[in-house]
Amino acid sequence: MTTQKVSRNIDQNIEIMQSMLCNDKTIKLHRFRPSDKTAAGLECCLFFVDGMVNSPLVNDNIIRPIVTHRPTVAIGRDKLSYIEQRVLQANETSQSDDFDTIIYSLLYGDTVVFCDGCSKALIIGTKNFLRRGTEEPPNEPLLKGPREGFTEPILMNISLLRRKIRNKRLKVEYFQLGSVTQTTCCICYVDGCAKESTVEELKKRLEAINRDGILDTNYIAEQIQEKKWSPIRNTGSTERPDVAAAKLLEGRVAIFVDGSPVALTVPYIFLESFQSPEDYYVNFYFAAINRSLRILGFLLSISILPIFIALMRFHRELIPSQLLLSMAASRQGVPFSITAEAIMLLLAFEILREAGSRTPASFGQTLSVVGGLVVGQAAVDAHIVSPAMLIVIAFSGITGLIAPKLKSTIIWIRLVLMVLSMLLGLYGYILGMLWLLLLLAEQSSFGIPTLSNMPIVKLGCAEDSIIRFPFHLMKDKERFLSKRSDLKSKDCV
Amino acid sequence: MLSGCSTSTEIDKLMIVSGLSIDGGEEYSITSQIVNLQDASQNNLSPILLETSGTTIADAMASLAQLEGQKLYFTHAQAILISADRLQNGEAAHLIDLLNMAPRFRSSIRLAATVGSAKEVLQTEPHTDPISAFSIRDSISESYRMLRAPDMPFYIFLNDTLESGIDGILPLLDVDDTGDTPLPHVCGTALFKDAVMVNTLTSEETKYLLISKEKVSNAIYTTDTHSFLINSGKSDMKYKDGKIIFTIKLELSLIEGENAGNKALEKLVIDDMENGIYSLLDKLKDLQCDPIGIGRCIKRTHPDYWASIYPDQWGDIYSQLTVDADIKVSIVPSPKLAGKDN
Repeated sequence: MTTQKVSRNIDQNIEIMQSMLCNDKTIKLHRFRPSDKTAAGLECCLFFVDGMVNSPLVNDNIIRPIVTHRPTVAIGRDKLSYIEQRVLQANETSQSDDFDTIIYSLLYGDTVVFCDGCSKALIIGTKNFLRRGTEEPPNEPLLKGPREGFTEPILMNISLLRRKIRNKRLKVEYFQLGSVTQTTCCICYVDGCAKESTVEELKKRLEAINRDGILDTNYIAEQIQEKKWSPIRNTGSTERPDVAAAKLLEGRVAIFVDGSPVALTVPYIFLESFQSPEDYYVNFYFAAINRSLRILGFLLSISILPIFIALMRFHRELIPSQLLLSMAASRQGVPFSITAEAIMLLLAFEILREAGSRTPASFGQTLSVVGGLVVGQAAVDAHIVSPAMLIVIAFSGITGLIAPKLKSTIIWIRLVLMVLSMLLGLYGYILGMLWLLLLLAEQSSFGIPTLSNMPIVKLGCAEDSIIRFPFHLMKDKERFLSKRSDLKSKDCV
Repeated sequence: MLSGCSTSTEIDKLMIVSGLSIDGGEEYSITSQIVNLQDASQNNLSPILLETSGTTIADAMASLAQLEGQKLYFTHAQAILISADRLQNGEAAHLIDLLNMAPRFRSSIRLAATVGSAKEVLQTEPHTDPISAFSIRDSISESYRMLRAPDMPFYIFLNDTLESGIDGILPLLDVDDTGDTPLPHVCGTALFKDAVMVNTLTSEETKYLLISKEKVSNAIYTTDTHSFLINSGKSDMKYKDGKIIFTIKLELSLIEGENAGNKALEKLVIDDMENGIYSLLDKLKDLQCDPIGIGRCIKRTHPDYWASIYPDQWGDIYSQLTVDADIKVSIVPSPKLAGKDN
């Protein structure tokens, strides 16, 4: 399909623009004639999208210079270059004769100037969207550490990243995804740190994406996943520039999507799910305890409910006598089986969790009081559920929140283990855990096994795994993801 | 493994048996103590006693299962009490068979003999725990710590009864009705010879039996005037030239007083022990009952000699056996007192 080109006739160009934009009321057309007779040849018009441009910049640096311009030299035939070089006061200008490019730029917040007698249009960077500040991401809060987070404009995110890594080897490669949305995306990596094979493989997978719209990084994350049906994710994500910078330094590649405050990072290993940026900002003793707790919390979250069900249904002899009596007593009058009770309560918990995350903050407290306390207490009093099961479900749910990156994974794994335990008791639980281990062992992300850096797999890689070692024992150069390049060498600075 | 579903039952549909008593004359009378969970909402666990009878223990147990229509759950049963009358008729062998064949009982379940009716002991209502079987098990453990009765899990009794060179023992219980409420009372030891109860020991005699028989620590040893905490105790037996040499080494700390290192008191304790042990051994030899395991010691150290004398000559040899008790006692200050000195 051939694209339409700019005509020398300004009226024709205006007509084409208006027909292509279907008389969109947000598109503003400003047509003017210079006041000075000597500049009468500079008959111009400009287009911009209302609300997307920096109005003072358009008024003071584009319209006013053109209108008040008094040429001191001959304008010549190339009026557009004359305007660009001698009239306008703008730092980002380009020329194009292609209406598709012109419309794309216009809709992205640039101002387009047509000049009568010129077969090109001048595109002036005047983007100024409404944007929020770089406040701390609510999903990754820290007690200690940087408070800034990525925001929606991609350029701002890149600038946040550049502030962390002031090195010429930080590479940013832009491209567009989405046949309709034409979303600007980019990949970032530290040249010499990230493996070329990873970068190439990522580019290949990104090129293979064929969708109308890319509105968030997750649109990309799911499509570059190797095992599409695996409950365990293949890409990391963060809203924090410090985390993204640290991951780039470890040899990973980040993917940004304009309009999304979330950056994807690949390759992804399972241990990343338990890492928090705070681990590196606090004392390593404290960090070691916290990370161990997250791993323990994950194991408890997926295990406590299946083990409880297995013990109560099949292996009651393993429960201490007094505890068994107490549990049996607590189930008196409950009309449902343990299986039905577990499924009901788990469902209720997940509904409450989902409702809590979707409810406006002003209703959140009401939801937790009514959902958690009132309904929970009433359900126990009415003998619909037993207190022991309620405690187990609540504990399982709370421990699941300790590693929020694994939230969805935990829900699935817990469900599978629960069903297996219901059917086969502890045998089922052990089978389920073996399935999980095999699933993890089999999966890889851009050539890196998901279970990499686990001391259970390879001794000697424990420096930043289940616990974090002090910095003087962690070697920058021996990161297993990277090419072991030395960023401190002279050619890098 | 794939039949897992079929073995599952809801926990509240079980009748949890906490204890059993076996009595009876011509027929076996079995009383089963079941925990009543119906009133549990007020944290009140109460026992229900179900009584059945049958020509055999298995027959009576089968009748028990039919009484309430719910599945009886024996795995958490704490104690089985058998009346001395039954045990003197060799009933322990039947009981061993039953428990050994029925995996639903734990092998750590406690067995005990009762002086009178076992059911009477089971239906007592202790103040500490409304379920008497739990209380009985606790009081047996505590009595063992006081060296008043053996604490005998089923698997040890089974081993001692079936192995040559040692005889089984069980704690002996009766009902203490001196107070307002009848309470279970541990009153000594029941002695067995080939799974038949032959006699009993008093609590005092039991004390010497236990320190001779096994390694004891953290138990209370009492004389007429003093009480000691046994910090470490070790008994050892050697067989040499037809003579058994007992060595008992005890390290005691005084619970009261400050008599650490008091040689006179140590001598007093040694004399008390010697007298008690020799007197006990005389009684055991008369009964030809060997709960200490002297025969087992010979069997382990001199298996050829044991093979030549067992079973024909061992009874006579045992009754004329010379035993030397070499008792060493050191009285040390309790850690608390030692700390004060420093």
